[in-house]
Amino acid sequence: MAKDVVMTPMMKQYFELKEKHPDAVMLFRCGDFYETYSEDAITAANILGITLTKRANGQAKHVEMAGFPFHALDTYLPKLIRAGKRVAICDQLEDPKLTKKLVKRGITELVTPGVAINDNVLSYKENNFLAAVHFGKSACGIAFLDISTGEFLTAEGPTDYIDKLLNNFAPKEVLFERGKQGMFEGNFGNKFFTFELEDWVFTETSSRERLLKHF
Amino acid sequence: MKNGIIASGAILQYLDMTQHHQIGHITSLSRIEEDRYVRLDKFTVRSLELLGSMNDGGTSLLNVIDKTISPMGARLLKRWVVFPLKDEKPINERLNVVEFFFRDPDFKEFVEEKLHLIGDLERIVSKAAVGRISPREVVQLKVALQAIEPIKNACLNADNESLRKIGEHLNLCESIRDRIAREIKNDPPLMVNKGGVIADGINAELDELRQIAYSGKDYLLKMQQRESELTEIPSLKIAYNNVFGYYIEVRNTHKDKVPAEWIRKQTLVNAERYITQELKEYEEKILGAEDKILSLETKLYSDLVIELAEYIPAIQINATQIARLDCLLAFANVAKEYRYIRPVIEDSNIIDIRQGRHPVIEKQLPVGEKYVANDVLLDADSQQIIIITGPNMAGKSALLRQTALITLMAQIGCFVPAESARIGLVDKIFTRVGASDNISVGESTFMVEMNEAADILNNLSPRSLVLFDELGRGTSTYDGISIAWAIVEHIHEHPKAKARTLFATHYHELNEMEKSFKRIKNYNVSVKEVDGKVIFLRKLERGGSEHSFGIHVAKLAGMPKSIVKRANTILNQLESDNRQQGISSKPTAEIAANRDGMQLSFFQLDDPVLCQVRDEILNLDVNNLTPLEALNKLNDIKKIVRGK
Repeated sequence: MAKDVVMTPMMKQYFELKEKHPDAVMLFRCGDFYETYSEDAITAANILGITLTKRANGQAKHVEMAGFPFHALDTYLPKLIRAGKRVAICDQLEDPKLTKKLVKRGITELVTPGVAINDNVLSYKENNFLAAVHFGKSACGIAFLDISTGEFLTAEGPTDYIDKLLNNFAPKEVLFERGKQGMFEGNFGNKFFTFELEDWVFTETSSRERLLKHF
Repeated sequence: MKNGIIASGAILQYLDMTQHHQIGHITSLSRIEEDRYVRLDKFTVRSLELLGSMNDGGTSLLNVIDKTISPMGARLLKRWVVFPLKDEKPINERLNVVEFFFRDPDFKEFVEEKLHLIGDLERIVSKAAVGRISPREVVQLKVALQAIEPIKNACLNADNESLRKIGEHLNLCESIRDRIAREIKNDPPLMVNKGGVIADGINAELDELRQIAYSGKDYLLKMQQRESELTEIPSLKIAYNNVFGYYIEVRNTHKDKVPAEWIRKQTLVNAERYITQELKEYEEKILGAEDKILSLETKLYSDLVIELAEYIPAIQINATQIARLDCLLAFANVAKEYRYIRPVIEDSNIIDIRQGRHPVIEKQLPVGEKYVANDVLLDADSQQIIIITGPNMAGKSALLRQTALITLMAQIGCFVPAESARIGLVDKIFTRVGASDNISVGESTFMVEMNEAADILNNLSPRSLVLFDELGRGTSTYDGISIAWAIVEHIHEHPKAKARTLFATHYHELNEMEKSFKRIKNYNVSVKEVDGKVIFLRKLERGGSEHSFGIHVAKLAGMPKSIVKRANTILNQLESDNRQQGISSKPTAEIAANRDGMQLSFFQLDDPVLCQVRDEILNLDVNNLTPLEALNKLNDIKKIVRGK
């Protein structure tokens, strides 16, 4: 991707952060603006209807850019989410006044359709569930979480029961193990917004540990 | 629960990945207890149109009964609708509360009024956990907690056990509520960094700084007056902008009176701006104070939010109790507005609905038209299966759905649209209603239908309620009848599960079953035939029906007359032949033969004028016709067509 982009220090920082979430649109805080570069910029410009422009990037080189003022985040973020995008928000982690070098930046939030707190994304009459499905040997496990209300539910059963729950809760995003796409769609159809996670996430030890750590 | 645990763990790990680390508001993980709720498969949720309509612009049951006030209530109600209860006790608890509201309108109005103040408590408190709560939301939280107090008191004094329980669970969180009331100004800005969030008298340092900032501005005013007098410039002004800070502005007319020690900063078209040493000193003091005020306010505010976080579990409980109260209140309001009655819930296998109405269709009727209510009685001993026949459009499907909806509403704890209703608890509701093919997945209409039917038959229980609407219509008539017959027989003869069943069909042949199976009863939705026209009475009556009046409906729909007429002929022929030969052999070959030479004929149109024209032309002897005669003939024909 974008191999011809000259690696200025900031672009280097950008691509390092971007690499962590290659499938998300990254909003890169740059002073008073959130900016997107390269392919993200094209996507964002299309969805948000903002101007796609170019940023001078080293000698006679340009990179596509689109951005909006930081205070407009609440208007633009929901649009990206509703378009089914995952959005990584990258903020400046130190006060630019205090440093002479490039400001340190880091991803402060990854917003996805299933994990949203922003009022503009949520519909107040509905829960906004994130679901995870695990295909066990004999039965299927499922969990639902609405991060906006704190409700956290789980169940286990045959696939048709899970299918029923998925229909009743209508989660905005469903997680499952990488490589189980065919299995998921075969059982539950393809109308959900899905995301695949690495298989180590779906092991009993790691899950148990994570749950015990929280509760 | 191994698989459920893995899935739950995966969710938390995903939150880690998406940088959501402040999740203190996720206080519990609960199992969805399948055995507490009525089993509704997804076809049923869809075909009964519980949450959403199958067609665009249609109305769902939820739309009709959702009169909730708070967002939490709306969310809970949605959950209730798809998870009806199947135990007598909790259902009656809900019904008792609804009845209590119904009987005590003053109490209802009081609670209702307070509920309006509460807002989205659940989401606000989650934001507190995430640390993203705005000062306005904190104030909203306080208002909500204040509104809870009278609700709590009212509930505690109410003569109803469930309400008292709700009252006991409500937690006033007084200390945090009072702290918010004390520390946060009543009309704070949306964001903390705008300042003016923390009330006066809370923090001595803050008050002092505010004094400086405020009196500093006062001082500037005095300075303006003083300088104005000293320099004798009446229009001298002290103002502020972001670039130069505080400055003195002098109109060009008085430019010559400006003292030499003033430093010129900016020249405008008709004015000049200056600063003085004294002004700059004050500026630093004021701005410094403002900066400090902001950071101090932010600190005080985040202290408050941290304390607030400790109350999250208590406030969450409040939110669930309020949601519950809100839903029950909505039921009471719906019942009052739409004239619903309290159903009798019992542990039996009877469903006895008197004068039941369809809650959604009833609302859709044009003004002045009345929904025709119907009685439905199902019980496992004498009337387990009802076969409903009757014309198209008579209301068979509505009757089926209305029975399911009334049962379901009763088990949610809602009053129902009927004159009286006895509902023996149902543990599964199955529906096989309407046709929906799934071409995109590669399943045909009939395949979908059979899949759903198979699912029903494999999961029957003694307490199931089963609805079949026109089962077997997606295939040839004889296949359809055979399948339908076999299924009805299976349900009737099922050794363990005497599932209560409504079966709407156009296969009048199924009416024969009443004779040989004792718990099958025939009903029909009645119509009246007057002068070849059909009037729909929409009344359910005992006995089978003879006709489907399908052709009549086709006519209503605007089918070409020729087709309607032809269809009638075929129907008559089929029916008379049928009587002679029994079901087995329908003389379709004969019917096909009869239409020889007619189908494509232009003159098949049943217009007498056209017939006349045809005769004229047929009687012509073209060989003995002069051109003039031919023209005259053409003129004659033209006259006929013109009607002269």
